[in-house]
Amino acid sequence: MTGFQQQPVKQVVGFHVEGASPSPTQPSLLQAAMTAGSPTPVIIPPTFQRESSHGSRAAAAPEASARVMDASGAAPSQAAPIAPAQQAAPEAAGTSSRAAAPSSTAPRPIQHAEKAEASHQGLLKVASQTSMTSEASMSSGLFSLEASTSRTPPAQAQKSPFAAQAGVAPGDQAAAHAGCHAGHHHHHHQHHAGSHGNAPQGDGVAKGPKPQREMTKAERRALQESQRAAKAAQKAGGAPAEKPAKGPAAAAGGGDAGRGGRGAAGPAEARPGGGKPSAAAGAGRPEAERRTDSAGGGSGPNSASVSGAADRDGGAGGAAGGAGLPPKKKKDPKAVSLNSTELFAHLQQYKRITVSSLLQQPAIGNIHPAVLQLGLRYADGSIRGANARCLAMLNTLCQVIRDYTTPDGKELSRDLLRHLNDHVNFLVVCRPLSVGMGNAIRHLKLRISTIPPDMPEVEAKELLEQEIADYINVRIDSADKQLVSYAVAKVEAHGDIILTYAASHVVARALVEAARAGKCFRVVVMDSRPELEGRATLARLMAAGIPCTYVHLNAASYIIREVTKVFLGAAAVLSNGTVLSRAGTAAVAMMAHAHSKPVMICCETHKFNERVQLDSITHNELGDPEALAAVPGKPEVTALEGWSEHPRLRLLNLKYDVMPAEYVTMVVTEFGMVPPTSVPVILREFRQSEQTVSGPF
Amino acid sequence: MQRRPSHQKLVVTEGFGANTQGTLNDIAVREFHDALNRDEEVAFAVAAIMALTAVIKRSSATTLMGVSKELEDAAQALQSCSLVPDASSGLGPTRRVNPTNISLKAGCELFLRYTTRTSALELQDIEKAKARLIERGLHFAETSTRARQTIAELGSRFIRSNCTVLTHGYSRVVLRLLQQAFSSGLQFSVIVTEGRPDGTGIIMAKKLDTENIPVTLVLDSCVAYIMDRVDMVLTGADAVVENGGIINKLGTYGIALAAQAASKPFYVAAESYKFARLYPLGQADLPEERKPLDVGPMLPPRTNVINPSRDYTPPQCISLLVTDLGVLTPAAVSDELIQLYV
Repeated sequence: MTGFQQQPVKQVVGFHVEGASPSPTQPSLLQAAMTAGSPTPVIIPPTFQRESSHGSRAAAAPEASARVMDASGAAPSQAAPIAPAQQAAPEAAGTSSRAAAPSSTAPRPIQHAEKAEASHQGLLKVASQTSMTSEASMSSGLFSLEASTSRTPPAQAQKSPFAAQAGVAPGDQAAAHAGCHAGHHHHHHQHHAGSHGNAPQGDGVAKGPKPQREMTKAERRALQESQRAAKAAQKAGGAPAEKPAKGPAAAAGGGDAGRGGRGAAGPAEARPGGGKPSAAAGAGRPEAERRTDSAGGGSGPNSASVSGAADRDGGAGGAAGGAGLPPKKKKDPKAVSLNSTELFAHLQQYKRITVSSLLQQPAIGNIHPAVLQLGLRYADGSIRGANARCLAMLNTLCQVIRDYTTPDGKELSRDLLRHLNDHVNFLVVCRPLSVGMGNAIRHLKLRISTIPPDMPEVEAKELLEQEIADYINVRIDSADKQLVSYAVAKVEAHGDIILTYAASHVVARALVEAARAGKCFRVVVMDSRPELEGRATLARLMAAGIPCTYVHLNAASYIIREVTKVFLGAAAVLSNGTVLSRAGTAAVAMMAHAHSKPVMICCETHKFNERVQLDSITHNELGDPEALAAVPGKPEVTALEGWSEHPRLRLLNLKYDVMPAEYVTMVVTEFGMVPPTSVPVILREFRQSEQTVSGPF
Repeated sequence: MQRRPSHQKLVVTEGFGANTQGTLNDIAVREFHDALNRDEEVAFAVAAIMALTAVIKRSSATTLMGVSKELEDAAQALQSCSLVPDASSGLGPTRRVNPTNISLKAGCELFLRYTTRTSALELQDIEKAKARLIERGLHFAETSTRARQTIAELGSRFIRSNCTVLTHGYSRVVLRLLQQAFSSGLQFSVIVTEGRPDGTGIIMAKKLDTENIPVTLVLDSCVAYIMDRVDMVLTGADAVVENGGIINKLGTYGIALAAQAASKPFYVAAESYKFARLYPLGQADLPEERKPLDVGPMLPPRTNVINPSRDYTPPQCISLLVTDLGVLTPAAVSDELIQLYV
């Protein structure tokens, strides 16, 4: 453990991510941030982040939450601010000193994580009672990941908030709860508490940062940037005046949470409270002891990260409150930069979705059962593929609309929009939407919003159902047929060898149709781990009697020489001609381009998007990292067993990648074959026709 | 670009006598040939467009669908009607217009598409709709006939004084463009390739010579050799395909590659009625052509001969297309086509 902490951690640096530059409005903070750490984010997939500052932050985390509880315990929320602030100060100083000393922190055993997790369920219910919205809880989860992944052993990425707390009070679930809540609320408060020392909890939630996935990228960046900058500023010694107040305020909030959550918060407060003075006083206490004190912190940095607020505020308190106690040592700048934004931190982190985890969604009661079912099927992968997912969603939404009744005193167009939003948000939790789904939803919402208020409900619902049916028919079903006919025309009557990658419904259909039309060709089905979707394609082609070759992506450079054409599907085609598709597709296209083989992308226009994307970082989907660890059918491959325990290993399972337009020879759409440069023209035509069509409503 | 020697008279023969649609197609084909015979400068596509306009005028159909159907049949008849040169032309046996003549096909398709686009048509009143169709047809025919002049005006600006232009084979629009530039007082010289196998380059050289434009004739295989001295390449096109590439006389692709290698601009002059809904993936993906082999009699017995008459130049090799719609980048061709077809 010590070893890895002391080595400089290897990082991938050098990407400049859009919106990542520090806010221009805070030049001083910016400067501080520049000196403190790299202004451009370090690019490390968050789930796999953990490194040297690990120990220090982790250690700080439980203490911070402990302090939080202490604060709320010591004084009911109104009274809390000042005293705890002072109290927090030395402690925070201690934190930073510990941070500076890169003494080792062993990865914490997480024997209590399970318990904590078990308590999680009750907890979330509590959370919803205490007016914490699902987004709030989610976002704090996300934030925690984002802020803390660098110190989170991957396995605990999801559970860590609880694991950490379990560490604080091993076996004491109440404590775990309380801490957890403290963490969550703390987070929400950190931006506002400063102004009104002691925001009531609900207020905090309401005003808290938007759920992360609802934020724009820029907002997220700005938030992270400001956090980082604030921290750097504190370290530089000049803590902004309002800072000290934050910790306590948040603490109060957290305490509220704890109390609101359970009467058992009492003991929880007591314990860390007891531990606290020692922590505060014990700046010089042996490192090891301290760590024991914050036992489990290593594995569950989340309380700290739970918002990055806890420890940051702690730092603030330390800097400001401990006037005579200058920050003993500066943190290693490296460590700071490691805590900064990671490359994929802005993406929705992979979470295993189960029935029970869905039931914890606060608004679950309002979700239509068909949507519940759909969400589960998205999550377990039994509905996959852009078209299939979009179709299933539209059909289900149709059902939702059919079963919808406008409440009294509400207007259909508004209430139904909100109603649908709830459902869509639920689906997003199960799996992020695809571009096609997003387009379909946007289309539907546009229609709903143009329903005149005086239209009878029955009529309006019929209209919408018809609209959905039309969309399915025109944009998906007929489009598929038309597209397939164009693609078939590009298969030569004799002697083509066609390469396809993974699974695309339209490509497979086109090839089957071509075979049915009597064309003589061979197909090379290329596939790759972990999804192995190509096998479905293979089965389908074999069933149609097409001679096939099955290879994996690593045979691409060999097989490409004998191939004459490349047919690929796409998850989306963006307006700069960039094609978003299953991870690995870009490599295939690049290979084909290098060998001057035509690359044809089959994509219906309902999956076209106005967005421009230059890399596969800004928008992507994270898959289960566990899928990379095990090789099915090869039990002897055990190198990655227990990878999550390994402090410096992260597995990244990206679902999509983008290929630039220059690798694309043509995009086959239902309107014929167009060069990728013409995608914006098609989008423009659609926008115009959409405007004219939606006119009469 | 197919070319009719001036002495070649076009005579209508078989092909539509058996056609059940009868008179309308006859009218169309007659109009087509009349137009071609009236003026040898008229392109096949423009003649076809005039013929199709005549079809709309005489149409007795009572529905819009009916009109479209008649137009489609007439277009089909135009594309499959055969032309027999005068016996005096000495060109040997019957020479048919290639039924896959792409520019003719493209012209017909564009006309159909342009006139029968249903948007902005008053669907209720067939007479009004028909009047609108005729109006559109005339408009299309007019812009098509004016196209060459428009291109000449737009494209002559690309020629600077004392520059050297390389062109390939004979193209009426290129010739017009060069004439326009020369008549505006610019001094420049033209290098013309011989244009084997039909020697169209020699015709081009003759025509340029009569205009007093300095002209040099080189072998087709001399292109790379001469490229150093060339300032720009300017060619015509049989058809402009959807991605902005062109289909043109054999050898164009080679010239384009040589120009690209030497970093010389490669311009194409093409009328917009040549925009075809084709998307070739490569040379093998061009529409089939049927033409007699034109190689010497001295072939060794077991030698195969591949003798295409045109090739496909991909858009990456093309700097700009000078069209009557304006000067376009290759990517913009697709934009124009999509507006018609989406």
